[in-house]
Parts: sequence; C-alpha cells; structure tokens
Amino acid sequence: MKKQYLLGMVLFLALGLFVAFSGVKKRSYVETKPDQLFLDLIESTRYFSVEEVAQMIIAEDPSILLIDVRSEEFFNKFSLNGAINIPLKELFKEENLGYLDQNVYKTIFYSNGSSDADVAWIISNRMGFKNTFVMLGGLNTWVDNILQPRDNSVIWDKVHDQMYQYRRGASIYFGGDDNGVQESGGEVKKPSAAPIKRKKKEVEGGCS
Amino acid sequence: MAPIFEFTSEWNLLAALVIGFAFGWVLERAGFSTSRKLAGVFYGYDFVVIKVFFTAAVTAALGLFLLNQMGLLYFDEVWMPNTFLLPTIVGGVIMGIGFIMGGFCPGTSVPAAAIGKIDAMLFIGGMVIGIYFYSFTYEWIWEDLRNSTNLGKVKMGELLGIGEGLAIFVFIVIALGTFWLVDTIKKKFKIEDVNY
Repeated sequence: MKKQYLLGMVLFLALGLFVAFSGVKKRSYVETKPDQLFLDLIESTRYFSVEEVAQMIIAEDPSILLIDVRSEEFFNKFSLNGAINIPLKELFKEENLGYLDQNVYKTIFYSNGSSDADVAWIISNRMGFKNTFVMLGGLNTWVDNILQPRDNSVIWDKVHDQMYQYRRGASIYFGGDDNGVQESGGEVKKPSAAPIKRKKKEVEGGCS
Repeated sequence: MAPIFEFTSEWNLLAALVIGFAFGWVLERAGFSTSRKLAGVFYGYDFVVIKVFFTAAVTAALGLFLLNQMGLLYFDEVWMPNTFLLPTIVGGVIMGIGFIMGGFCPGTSVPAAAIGKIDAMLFIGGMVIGIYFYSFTYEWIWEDLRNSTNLGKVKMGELLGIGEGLAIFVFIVIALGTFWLVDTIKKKFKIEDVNY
C-alpha cells in the first residue's frame, strides 16, 4: 500500500509541475457545434437534385459554382458544363479556399456518387463556410436521369410524364443518349462530340 | 468538444443517471456508506474522508486542465456557479452540523440507504424535511442572505493572480501536505485502522 501511495503522490506532483508551467488554452476558431452539424446534415435543403442543377446550367444561372471533387483524371474525361475541378484532397489548400470562403455563389459539390461530395460538404460546414450544397446522387444519377432518361411511369400519370419530358429535354441539351441505349458500362464519356441542339440561340455566336 | 451535450439537451438526464449510479457504487465500495467512517474525521479516528475529498478535487482539477491542454475542453464553455461568500459560509456550517450529527453527507446517505441502512433512510427523511423547510421559509428568512455577497465567477488562480496552472500546483502541494499531516497525527497518537 505504501508503495502505491508514494507513486500516486509523485504522479500528482509531476502532473502538478506540468500544469504549473503551462497556460490555459482558449478556442482559437469558430467551429460548428456537433449537434448543429447533425441538424444541418439531416436537412434536405442542402441537396440539389440533378434536375435542379441541369436547370441552373441551362439557364446559365450566374449564382452557382459547381465544384467537381473527383480527381483531375476523371474530371478531364467528363464534367458538367462550367464546373471547376478541385479534388477532395486539395479542397482546403490555401489557393482553393477563396472558392469556398465567400458569400456570393451557391457552391455545389458533386462527385460520382454523393459520398465524396458529402465529405467536402461536412468539412466545409465545420469550417463555417456558408451556402454549400451537394448534388444528390452525383454524376451516376446525372447519367441515369439526364443523359439516359427512361420513362419509368407504368401507367400514364402527369407528374411522372412531365418529369420524363423535362429530362428528355435536358438530355437533348446536354447531348445525352435519349434513346435509352446504354453505352458500355463504366466510365462516362465527355459529351462534347455529340451534336448539341441548343434551344437558346444566343449561346451560340461569336464571329465564325 | 465539451460540453458533450448542450445544457438544454434531454441526454443530460441519461448522462446524470449513469454517472449517478457509478458515483453511488464507488462511494459504497469505498466504505462511505458507514456513518462511523464519515464521522471519524471529526472525532479524529479516521481521515479517509479528507484524503478522498482532496484526491477527488486534485484529480478533477488535473483532469480538466489536461483535457484543456489536449484541446478537448475549454474553460469558457464549462458552466460554473457564482460564488456567494456569506451564504456559502452559513450553508457550510449548517451542513457541517448535519454531517457530524447524522454521519452522512447528502451524497453518501443515498447509497447507504440503498443497501438498507436505517440511519441513512432517516437521514434522507431529515434532508427532505430540511428542503421543504428551506423552500417554505425562503422569502421570509433566506432570500436576502442567499443573494448577498455575490463575488461572480471566481477562480482561485485569478483571485490570487498567479494563473490557473500554478494555482492547481499549489492546491496539490496543500493536499499532499494534508495527507502527510493526517498520517503523522495517526502515527503520533497511535490511531489504529477501524474495521466497520
């Protein structure tokens, strides 16, 4: 008993000496509280559907900033119109923080699915950046719904039909395969080669 | 990180229940469900209570400070009560009298009652009567006293102007000095350990 008793006393004294010469630490940055983060996380308004994103791209919405968080290799193969590529690992480098730390644009993250974009969203939320969103389902859903839309309605119903017609329209805009013919699975090809039938004349032009 | 739950969270009740069970169990295992052991400190035949109270305070202080050093806890975000000097002294005297007479402090009486000690059950009964007495006479007797001499949120380090780390160190030295003192008293007066 005596030995343990002494050991405890020495331990207390050693720790006491350590704390005697160290200062109190204060929180150095503002961080989203965990429970607030959780509430934000289950809030569905942090998502944009692929249809909404397509609509904003077609309308050339100036208030959105699309950020592709996949690697540069994938970005070069296929990306959304007007998106910039910041791979997830480089998202919080000094030169890229300017894109996130602003209150002008709606920043929309996307990746192949939703998970990498979600990671980017969670970290930027924790760092206190506002106006960040995720494209729900990522490019996989983009391909399914926008580039290769299928008529899923079993019997005719207006809502499904309107959605399908909208997707077909978007598909034509983005040069997708609206015949529903699946390309050989795997990588999505960049649709730049496909003839783009633009409804808006003014996007074409320049002096040719 | 801290607080683990917001002050308004319902999870606090669950956390309190779990911590409460653990606290009661440890008190009982440490022999604090015996009124003779607790009263022993006043009569000078058992000093375990002093050692335990000091150890608890030192451990808590060191633990909080080390968590702070690791960046897991910030003192600004930990709730602490205001210090009311005069009411604390008066309350301390009343509680001390109850402690000597009953042989329990409010915390230890509950695990003692839980293992079937009749004196502890009577003690809890007295405590409840005391609570009702205080509540019903609050406006007549206690209100002015209770709100007097408010010193705000006082930390020893700030009060003495030596910084919190050094204050903890001084407190540890005082605690170890007290341990040595009571051990010396025990040896000098040949006080035997009592089995209850």
